[in-house]
Amino acid sequence: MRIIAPRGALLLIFGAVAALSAGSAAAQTVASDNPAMYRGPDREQRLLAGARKEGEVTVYSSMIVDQALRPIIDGFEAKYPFVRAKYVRDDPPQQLQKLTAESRAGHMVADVVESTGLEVPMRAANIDQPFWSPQIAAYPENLRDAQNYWAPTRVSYLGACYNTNLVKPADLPKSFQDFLNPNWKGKMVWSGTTMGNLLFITGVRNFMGEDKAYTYLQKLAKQDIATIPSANRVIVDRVMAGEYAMCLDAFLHHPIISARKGAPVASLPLDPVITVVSSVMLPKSPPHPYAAMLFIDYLLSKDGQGKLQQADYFPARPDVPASPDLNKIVPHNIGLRENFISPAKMNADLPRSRQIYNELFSK
Amino acid sequence: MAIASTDRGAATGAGSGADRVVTVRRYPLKVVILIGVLAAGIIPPFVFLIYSSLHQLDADGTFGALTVANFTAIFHDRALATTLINSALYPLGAALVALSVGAAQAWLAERTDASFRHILYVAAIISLGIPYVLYIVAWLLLLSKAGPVNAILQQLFGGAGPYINVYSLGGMMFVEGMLWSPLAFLLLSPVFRNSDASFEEAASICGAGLFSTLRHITMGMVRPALLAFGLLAFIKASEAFEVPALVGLPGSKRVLTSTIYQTLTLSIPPDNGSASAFGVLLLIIMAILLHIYNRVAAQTYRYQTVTGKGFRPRVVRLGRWRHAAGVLIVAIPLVVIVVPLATILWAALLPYYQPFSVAALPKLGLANFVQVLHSRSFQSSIVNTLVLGASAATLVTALSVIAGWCVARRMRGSAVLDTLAALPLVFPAIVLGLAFLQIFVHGGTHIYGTLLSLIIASTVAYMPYGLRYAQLGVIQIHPELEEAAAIAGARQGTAFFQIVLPLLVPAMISCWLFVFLVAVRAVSLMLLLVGPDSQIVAVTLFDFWNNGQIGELAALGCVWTAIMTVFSVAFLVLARRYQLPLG
Repeated sequence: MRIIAPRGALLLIFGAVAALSAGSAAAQTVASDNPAMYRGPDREQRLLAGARKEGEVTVYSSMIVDQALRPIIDGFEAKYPFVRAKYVRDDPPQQLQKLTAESRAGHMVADVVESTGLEVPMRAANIDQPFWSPQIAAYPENLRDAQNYWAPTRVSYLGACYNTNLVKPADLPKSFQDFLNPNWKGKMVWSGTTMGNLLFITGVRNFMGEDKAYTYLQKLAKQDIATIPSANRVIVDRVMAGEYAMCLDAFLHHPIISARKGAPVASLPLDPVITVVSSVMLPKSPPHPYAAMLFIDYLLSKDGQGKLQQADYFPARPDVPASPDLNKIVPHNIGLRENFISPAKMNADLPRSRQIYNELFSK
Repeated sequence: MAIASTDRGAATGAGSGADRVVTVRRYPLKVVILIGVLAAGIIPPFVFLIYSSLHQLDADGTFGALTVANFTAIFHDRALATTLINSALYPLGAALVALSVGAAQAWLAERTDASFRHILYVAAIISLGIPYVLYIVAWLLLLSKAGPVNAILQQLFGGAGPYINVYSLGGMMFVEGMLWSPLAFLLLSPVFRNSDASFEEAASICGAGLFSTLRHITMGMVRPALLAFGLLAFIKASEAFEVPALVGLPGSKRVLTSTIYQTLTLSIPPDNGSASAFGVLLLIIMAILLHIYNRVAAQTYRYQTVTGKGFRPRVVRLGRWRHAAGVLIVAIPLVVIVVPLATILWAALLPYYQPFSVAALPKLGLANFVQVLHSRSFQSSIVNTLVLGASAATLVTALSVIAGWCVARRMRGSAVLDTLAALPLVFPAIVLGLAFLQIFVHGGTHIYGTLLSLIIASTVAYMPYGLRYAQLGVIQIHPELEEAAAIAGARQGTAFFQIVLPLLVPAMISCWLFVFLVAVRAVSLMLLLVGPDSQIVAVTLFDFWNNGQIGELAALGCVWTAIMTVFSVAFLVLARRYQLPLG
């Protein structure tokens, strides 16, 4: 079989490239009857009636499926058995890639987006819309968007975790500086994602200041940290399996969840604790707008936030406290400061953090 | 119409417009229709990939201004040299591993009287049904720093540090080589089977020992085939994505395919332009490699090992080595199949992954299997995968039987058909996935994320393989049957449907099964295209690994491998029965 392209095939390709260059446009459908901002007294009834007709909702979330996402989906379906809830778990960049692709292709699949760090990029891509839920009032104003494009769902604390079989309590780092100890060389791992080492770098820059942070990271780069391009949860698994003694960028509730199952792993919050908040967003023209709003209501409600509490995640809703085990690592309960990285800051600092990573750590 | 000018235009020199219309008319209608259908699937990926590599992407996902910045950025990247060196070394090592493991098995199974030879076939068949991701994960668990292999080495040789780092270039070569070794065995075994034993007998009469004969005579006869397969394995490893992503990236060993994936998935917003530019670069490299492969493959026909006179393949008597070879034959499938599958089963039974230990035994349970078998999303991904595989296989088989017949009967325009159907070969799967992503997102088709979109992409991707099967099938059927039908008054179409098609059934079934097995196994083509309603097993496994759901990954993998084994057994039985190619 020959594989050499004849001139005709090449001509065809280049001709078509030229034709395409002439211009293309895709249509955006706009829902005529949009419940997103509706505040009337019959809102609940309208949502229920609409959702009943739709019968389905698709949720994109970056929560770990077997820990939190599945219990929430199950809780929602138990409360609204007439709506079948589907979920897709991805890291934030993949979520954004899918969402922009769906929007451009004029084939929106996602009804609800729950993620960390996508608040600003989704606005920039103009693929979300404002929404209102009666539940929003229960949340502190500094975590909400003034224009109603997002509402907080959960808080996450980023910190170290270690294998309890491999690290003695006396040897534990007590500050970020202790990671520079030569004993740790080649024994540490971090996640090569926007929520992993890039967030770690942003966090360090935020509390040390640019110059000191750069010097610190230069020294850290000499510690041969292994970079695994998977979610933070995977890094904790590697530490549990004994592949690495310590990880730098666990979400601090993950090790606690695993330790409860008997895994040899523990969390290590260090002052100041890098703190982020995740948000729920509503895409433009979701295929099931009523079920979408019903799900957002549920996620923000005491019920939904209670599922997070039971799953050992940190609920964002102030009147739903974290579980007793998690309370032991909430920074202000143990005398540590919070190093809060807002959605805007996370997004603004990302390019420089990536640049620093590439300069210092990329092999 | 450019099609007409491809071969006629070149032959007749510059012709007028009227001439061209006449030329088109001379193509049989069925050839014109086929060319139209194939071109509609095969040309757009080239167009969209090149187009998006030459344009900026704006924040809202629309194409912006024309630019060459995507290409200049590639050449200014200081990591490019390392990436290119890795991209050359890794497939070379992988091809060597696949070739040596595969050839050793082929020789033992076909040319010796070693004990337990048939185990090799059973193992190779089962391996055809294992998804790449599952197999790679098994090796990652086995060879990880805290895994059993390092633990055993530490027990044997002492010392604290791990002996093997699987997340390295060597690890990539090994795992990819192991992945291809069963196919190497299946493809090389007919070569060993058919090489003339009289040369080996002559050597042993002259006093040459077993190993001397093997080295100088047997290897001499199969060398051209080894070279051709080695090159094929090199090409396959160059365009592979799964091993570079799962083994290479954690060790910061980038090759071109994994760079494309990282460019798309690590940045916010996704950098489609750079990814496409890398894709175009890879496309050019693949075209050059395939050109070389064609020349080498053509050369191998010059070495005839099956001749008309006194051909009798005979096995070599190993004598006292017979049982040693038997041990080797048991050991190879143990390493290639049994141990990796056992590791997966172990992971499937655990609540969270930990290396094998007696202490972990009380923790074993079926929770992951219960989760997998009861979950709607897993059920639908299994159904989606079967529908995808079956639809792509049916479409490819149907198109390629007709195309293969036109080509084998040298109808007018068949050269265009042949070339068109072979064009997708230059696309590494991840690049074809990226090209189709651009089509579905920007082409205004509204089918992004649907199962239909996956079926279209798979059909295009596997056309070259289908055509190869169909052509080989048709060549075996002498045209005089159709000529006889024509003399008896049958039209060409009637002859095709009533005579050729029934005779092609075995070739069609194995073509179908082959495309089915390949289509459901790979991740890279589908990774960028699947949506929530079109989840497929291979991509689900890939996501599980990146999301930290090893237990469910392993359980789903076990269930799926069991289903696929049925298909791979059917494939092999048919292929052997009708002596059709296995790859």
